[in-house]
Amino acid sequence: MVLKTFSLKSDGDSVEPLLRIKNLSVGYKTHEGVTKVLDNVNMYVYRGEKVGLIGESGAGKTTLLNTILRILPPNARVFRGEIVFNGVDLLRAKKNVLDDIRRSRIGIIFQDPMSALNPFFKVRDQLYDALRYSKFLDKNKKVDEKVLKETSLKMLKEVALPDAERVLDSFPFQLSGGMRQRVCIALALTRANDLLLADEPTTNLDVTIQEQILNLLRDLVNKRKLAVILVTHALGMLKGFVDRIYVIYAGQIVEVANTNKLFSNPQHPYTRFLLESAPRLTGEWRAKELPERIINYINPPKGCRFSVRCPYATDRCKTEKPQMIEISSGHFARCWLLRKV
Amino acid sequence: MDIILSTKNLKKYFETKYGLVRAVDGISFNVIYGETFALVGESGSGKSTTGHMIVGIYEPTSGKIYFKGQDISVPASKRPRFLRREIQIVFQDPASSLNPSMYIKDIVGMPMRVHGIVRDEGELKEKVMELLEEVDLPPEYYMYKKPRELGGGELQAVAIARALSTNPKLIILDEPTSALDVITQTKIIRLLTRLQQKQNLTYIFITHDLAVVRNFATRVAVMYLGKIVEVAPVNELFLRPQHPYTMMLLSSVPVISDEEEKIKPRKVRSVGEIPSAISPPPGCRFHTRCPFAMDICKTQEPELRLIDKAKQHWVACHLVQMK
Amino acid sequence: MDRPSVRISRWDLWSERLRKWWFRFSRSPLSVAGFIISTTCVMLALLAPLIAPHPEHAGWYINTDEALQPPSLKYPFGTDQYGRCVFSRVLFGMRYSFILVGVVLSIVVPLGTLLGLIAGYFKNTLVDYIIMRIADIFVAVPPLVMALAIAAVLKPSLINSMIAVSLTWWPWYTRLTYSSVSSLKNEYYVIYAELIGERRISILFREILPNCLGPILTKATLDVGWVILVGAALSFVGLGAQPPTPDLGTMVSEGAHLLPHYWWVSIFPAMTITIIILGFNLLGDGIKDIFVEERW
Repeated sequence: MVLKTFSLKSDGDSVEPLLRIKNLSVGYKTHEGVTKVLDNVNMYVYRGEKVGLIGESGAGKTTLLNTILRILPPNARVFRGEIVFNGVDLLRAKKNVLDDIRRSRIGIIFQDPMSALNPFFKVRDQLYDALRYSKFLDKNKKVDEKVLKETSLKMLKEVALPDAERVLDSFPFQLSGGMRQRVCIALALTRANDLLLADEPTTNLDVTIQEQILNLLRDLVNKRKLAVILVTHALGMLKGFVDRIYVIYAGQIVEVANTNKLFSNPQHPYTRFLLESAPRLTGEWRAKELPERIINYINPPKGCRFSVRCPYATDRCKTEKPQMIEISSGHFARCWLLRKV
Repeated sequence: MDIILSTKNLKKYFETKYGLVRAVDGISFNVIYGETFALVGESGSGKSTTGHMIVGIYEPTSGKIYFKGQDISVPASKRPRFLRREIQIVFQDPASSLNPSMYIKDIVGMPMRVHGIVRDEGELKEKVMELLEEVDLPPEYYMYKKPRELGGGELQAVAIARALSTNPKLIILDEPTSALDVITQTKIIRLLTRLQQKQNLTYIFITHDLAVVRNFATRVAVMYLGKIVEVAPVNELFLRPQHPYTMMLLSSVPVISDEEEKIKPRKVRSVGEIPSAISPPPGCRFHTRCPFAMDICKTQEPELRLIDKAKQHWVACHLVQMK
Repeated sequence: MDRPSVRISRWDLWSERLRKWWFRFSRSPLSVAGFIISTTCVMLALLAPLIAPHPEHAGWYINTDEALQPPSLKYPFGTDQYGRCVFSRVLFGMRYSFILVGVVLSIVVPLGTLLGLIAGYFKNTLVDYIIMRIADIFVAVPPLVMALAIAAVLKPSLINSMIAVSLTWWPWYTRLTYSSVSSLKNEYYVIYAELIGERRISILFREILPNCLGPILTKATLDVGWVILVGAALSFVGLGAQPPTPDLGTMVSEGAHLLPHYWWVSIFPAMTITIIILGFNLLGDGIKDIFVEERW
């Protein structure tokens, strides 16, 4: 598979990324205090590029996606940062601009299809609603029942749902998990003309269905030349799907590299632990054990947030935040123990 | 080889408003002393229901369960007391299997208190501290914590300590690491392995994660829609999977390295969905998704037969049995 | 491991618990205000015999010379038509109010909760149906109507109004506990206890009850205000404590016809009722906050 390599050219004809997240810090106001979940996150995605975001539960992956679309809960606080999409700073955009983007530029697939679909409405109603409020339909054609039905059936067939007529007429609880997720993908595609956000789209599904859904997503994304941010906690899912991977721990991006480079030459201790810990189908399982630590977002460590758990942590790691070091072209990691190549 | 647990034609049907759900529909297997027997399947396979029946949460609709030769095919409330000590269980979600209002000391100490294994509070504390040390949780720190203060891995370790408190011979592990991240999963599996060697335990390991199975189990039974379709020692299953469903499962596992990619079966890719357990397909239940389905598969259910005596490999598939 | 090793004693545990409760409670200034108000009221009621300037006025006493005096230094709340010190009577009235509440809640809360525990745990069996249907019957009768019925049979008195209120109040706790227990009994830790062979009573009290306490204690605190109000309403219509017993409701009704000129006879008892209810409502809100468990 040919991996596209995108690189930031420093001057001249620089290709602007489709989405650029700069120094983003986000937290939540809770009963116990204010949490500082995302800490100075920097990320970019080019048009048509597929990017993966990997980290464990609670690392801030969902927070990041929700911040992009500005669908955070009311107790969330964006402390600072920019999210520039097609030249527009989403954090400071006016509502009508934001609505426009949500309607036809960026789509999202949520983790749990059961709660992403309204249990009281049939699939038909939810799909029609989505189509009516998108720019998906041809403006010239009158928006009537016939057009909606045709378009809906076409979309359901695209996500490989057999018996699309019956699915349209069903309630979510009458469908299996895999079928529901396909409906969610169809819904997301009514919006995503530029960028698709996928928040652990297959985590709650059986492994055989997972495979099917991932293949489907890959085909659809390639066909429409969409940019993707795929969020997951399982590394295996990213291989063969994304071009570049960001590794996040406790709200900090600790490493970013092309997929191949990340798997063959991981630098950050956390990335290495992740890779080693995954049980293999071949060979020995030589994983080292790492103590478990609940991340305290209310009083996070001043330095590297992984230092609490890292067996190689020095005093400097605990007090000073390390900067991103370029390991090789496009491969960056944030750790005091690494040296620039 | 001594058999610690065996089931004969075990069935469990549930009456629901949509119809009769045949969660487990006639399975028979043996578990040998000291081994880690894995029950592998996806949702609707019946693996959890089987585990629930063995430990006594459900009463079998029909069929038998034998523990050390004794018939235990009744719910836990009807079993003799000593059995509740001998067979233990660790559940999937530690947050709901541990009482959020209780201290860790009381959670771990509960079985011992109920069975009178300890005589007074002082002895209880001593024993709980020993158990917490066994699972690598320093007692001074953990004794008086509540579940909400601990992370998933720590909670599972507590659940394991609780299960060990009655000196069981058999522990049912119902997806013990499915709710944990991959790094913590390593820790728990290692812990379970150590404990097994130290205390001569037998595990029945229920899971959907094939990769963990390969690195933890000794023998594997693959379940599909309430039936066992294949049983084999773990290495044999991964090197020479016979049943098309096993191959489909294996080929769907997301892997990282190229060498793992190579051993995945190429012939069977994942198609279709799991049919309803209320009206399962006639004949072989897998035929609706099987690329090799023949006419006989649509009408006659294949039996689980021994196809390789030396390697103790059993398969329920007409195609395989014809060879 | 780099975790501290500390030997923990029972006292440490409890003080940590209290500290945690206070931390959650005190985040809202209103709750703290409620705490102050309610404890002050209770203290005043407790110390009534010592604080009241004219304790003898809380019984048979007539002094028409001093009747209907406006509030002054000698009589901080003025005097009523019999010359009795309103302030002293209010203090003793608070006593009776709290006695009423204390007795009612000490019967109703344990009884109602226990029945709810049993009905909820044995859900969908005969025991469940019997208990809950009886609860339905009693909850359908308003406290006032029940008090009238009892007064018709026995003579009206404080004790009988307590009986009346208790009879109509217990089903609420049963229902509250019932709904908590019905869902809790399917939690895996309860199933595990059953598997191990723990006795049912033990399961109810050790495993299930501690997880129901939040709503129960919150409701009990809020109920202090409600029961006092209902008790005052009963007394207001003459079904509660009989004269000369100083009861806040009775005092309001006795002074009603003296409004608006001799306002102090009614207004001060009425205000006292209001303040007590306010205090306990705010306190109840704070108690609710204590039971909010969040994992970060």
